[in-house]
Amino acid sequence: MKVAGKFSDTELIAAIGEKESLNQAVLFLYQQYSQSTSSFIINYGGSQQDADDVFQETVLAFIGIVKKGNYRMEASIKTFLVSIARNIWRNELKKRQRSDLREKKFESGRDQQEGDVSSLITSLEEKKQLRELVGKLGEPCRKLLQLFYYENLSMKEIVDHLPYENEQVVRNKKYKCLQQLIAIIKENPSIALQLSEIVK
Amino acid sequence: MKHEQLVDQFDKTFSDKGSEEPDPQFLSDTEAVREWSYLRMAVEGVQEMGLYEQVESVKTQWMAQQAAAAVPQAGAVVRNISRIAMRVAACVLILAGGTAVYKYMSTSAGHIYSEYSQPYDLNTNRGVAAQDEMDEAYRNKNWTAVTELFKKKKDKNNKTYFLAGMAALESKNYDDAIGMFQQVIATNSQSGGDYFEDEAEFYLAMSWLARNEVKEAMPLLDKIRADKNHLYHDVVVRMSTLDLRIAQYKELK
Repeated sequence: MKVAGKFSDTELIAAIGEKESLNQAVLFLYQQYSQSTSSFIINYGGSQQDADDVFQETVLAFIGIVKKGNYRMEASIKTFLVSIARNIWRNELKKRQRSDLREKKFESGRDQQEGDVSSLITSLEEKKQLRELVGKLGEPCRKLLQLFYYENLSMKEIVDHLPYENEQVVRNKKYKCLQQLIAIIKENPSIALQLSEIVK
Repeated sequence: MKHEQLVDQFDKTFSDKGSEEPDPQFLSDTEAVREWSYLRMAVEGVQEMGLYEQVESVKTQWMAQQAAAAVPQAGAVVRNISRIAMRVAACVLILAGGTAVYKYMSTSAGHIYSEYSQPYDLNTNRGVAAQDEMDEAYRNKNWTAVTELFKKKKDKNNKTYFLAGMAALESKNYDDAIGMFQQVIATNSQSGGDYFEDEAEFYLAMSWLARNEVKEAMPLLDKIRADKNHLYHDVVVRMSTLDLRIAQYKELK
């Protein structure tokens, strides 16, 4: 297997913050931490699929925390990831309304670290809902908006990536796509209200 | 203000500052502020989706690499052979009459666990006097205290995970014990180390037996039996293979 560059915790945090090295950092997270993190989920009643999904959400949450400068390296990355994963899984169990012995044991196994993490991942569910709303856009719109707002490409660069004639056409199309997305968000006022809290 | 202008201003702010703070001139226009908020939500969504797809892409790449690197497993064949062997063993038992029936009825994974499990002596096995509270609590067999101290411990390592696992095992919290021992093995697997590896393997197998899950215990027991240098080789060699097979058969029934 191709091995991602070996990162110390400090280097990994720096790599997550750089667009060019983010893929390597994510691959490293998977290679180093997915197995041990997943074993916790499986031990607490999750399937392999659950463990995969939870770890993916964990990685997303971790990247978000790091990018906001909220990871203070008080615990090792591994410990921190496991705490995030356990929080996510506990929330998932609550959603599934499972209050069996496993969950009770799970609750009793919480420690301070997890309490701290819990406050950092409060908006995960809202972000997931937001992604679902973006997913309602057509592929061309989604792609165009991502190139501009996620990849940070200029209009000129986008002309090279997508089948549009010139920058003005891209600009007009991007405006319409953005309007379309905002309309989708407005159609879901309850979600919009929750989201307005996380983009403050 | 026209909406197009608002979006232009938003994009300019976005590209200039890398953030989306509204221009102060908009703050007096309530409608513009509201629309600005929607723009931020939309862009936040696009960025979240972008990150999600990037992580998904790396995950797919990682899983493909794992699948490609995986050695073809002969598990299905082994399992079939084991099942045949177990069926033969069961037939022999039936033919052997009452004694064999008694043997069959009285054998279980839990029974094997009770017979072969042994307390872990911290001093004897490591030859180091306990230096901290957790060691002391463990030596005093205060399993509740060991568990509590483990939860509070900031610098957890293989030893603390192992002792917490033993405390859970002694308290018959087999799920917790399994998690702790698996953590030790996973850590060693990643670091290439072997700190408390033999202990964790043996007591993980014991925990599975205690939970009547022989199928999970067998690969570990087979590994220990095959390794003459393993700390618990002698203990496992003494285990009756027949008993294990019977227990496994009963589990699979």
